[in-house]
Amino acid sequence: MKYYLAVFSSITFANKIKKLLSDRPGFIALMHTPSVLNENGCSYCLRFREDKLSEVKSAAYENNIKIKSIYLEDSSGYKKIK
Amino acid sequence: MIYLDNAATTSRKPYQVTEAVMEELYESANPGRASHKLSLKSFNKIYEARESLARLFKVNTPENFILTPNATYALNFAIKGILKNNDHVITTSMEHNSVLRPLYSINNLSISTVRGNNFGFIEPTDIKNAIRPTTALIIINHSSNVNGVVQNIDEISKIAASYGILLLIDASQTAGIIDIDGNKFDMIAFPGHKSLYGPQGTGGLYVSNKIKLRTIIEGGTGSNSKSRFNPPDFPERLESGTLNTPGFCGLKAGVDFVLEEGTDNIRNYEHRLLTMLMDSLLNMENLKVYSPYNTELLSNSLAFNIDKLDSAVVAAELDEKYNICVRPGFHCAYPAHLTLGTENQGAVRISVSYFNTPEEIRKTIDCIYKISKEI
Repeated sequence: MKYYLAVFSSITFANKIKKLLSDRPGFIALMHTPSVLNENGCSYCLRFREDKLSEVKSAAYENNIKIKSIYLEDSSGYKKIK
Repeated sequence: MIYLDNAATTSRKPYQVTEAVMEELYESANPGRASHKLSLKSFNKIYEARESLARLFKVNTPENFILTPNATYALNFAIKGILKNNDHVITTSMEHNSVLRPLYSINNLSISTVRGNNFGFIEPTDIKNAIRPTTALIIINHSSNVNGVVQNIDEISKIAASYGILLLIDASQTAGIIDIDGNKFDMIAFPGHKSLYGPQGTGGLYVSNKIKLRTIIEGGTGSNSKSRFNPPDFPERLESGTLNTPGFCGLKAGVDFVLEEGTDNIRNYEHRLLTMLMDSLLNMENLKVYSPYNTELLSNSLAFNIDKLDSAVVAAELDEKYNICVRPGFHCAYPAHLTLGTENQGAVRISVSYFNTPEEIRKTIDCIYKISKEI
């Protein structure tokens, strides 16, 4: 199973998207962004199944919340896609 | 004990408030500082408090509610986050020291103080006439903490908007009593512990999206740790350090209580109590009331004096002889007393809450009458 990480500028925004999508099936977790990905120190991201990417992006868009970056997590590590 | 000092803080809280505080105290974690379950649980409770506040103020941006220890902090955040040296600000003679002292702490600030009429009502056109090219902010107390008069903030909002000037509302005496549409105002400062029935140590500032306040408190926000500056986004930008999580859980329960009861019902009930008082006080000899008879023009307070008695003496008599708690003196708003003509005696303020009863008001009226006859 592959996962995406969507990084937000604040835990408030990350949590807002998580809450909006919490009643939909599929795994969405709010977590500290892995240190290796952090450019500015601590931040928060949502980790979700690859088929959830469009739902996360549209929820952020509809709520005027910027996704700072998106990473694909696989066995080799993280690959930045946005 | 009859508690009629609710404009300072409401003494009696809904039982849900105590329960919410206790529940969080029993199992709490630092919100927004980790992503483990307990931290997120506390974080979500804080966010739900913002959501309840957003419902109360009719806006759809919970994250724009900055949580503070009280309204004074909120006013300081707004005033010092907007104004800078050589700016011009318009305020009124009815403001509390929580507005006046931050203003006078800013160097070279030009301050215009619009004076209220004999009851302290501000004429909106007087605000308009005070506007200058350098006016950066208008600050107005929605309701006086001295005599309860409510200002026409909708009209003042239209004036401010037409000139493109920011408007800060001090809703210390109205949040929870009077419906306030947050969409009409740039910033609203409010306490959590008065008519929102939260615990002391809670308050907040609503900031509209168009405003980027400078910070006056910096520190840990749980984000952007490598940066030497606070992050740009609300609410973290203005919420450095650990929040009063149990307190804001209590505030959420208090706001939910207000939403459930309805501000119209709360206000109507409190006005019934104030009208009972008015009808009796205005018929007593030797007694002067400094609030208008029409309680629709008031929040939850009125002010009076008995003959030439110092207000502190009247309050002490009510307390010592009759176990009635009221507030004398100058209420941290001396210019308001200059406006009302009570700068020598101060005034006795009675402020009611949703938990006061008609029987308590009847007893208070009897006791005031006895004191007025004893002089």
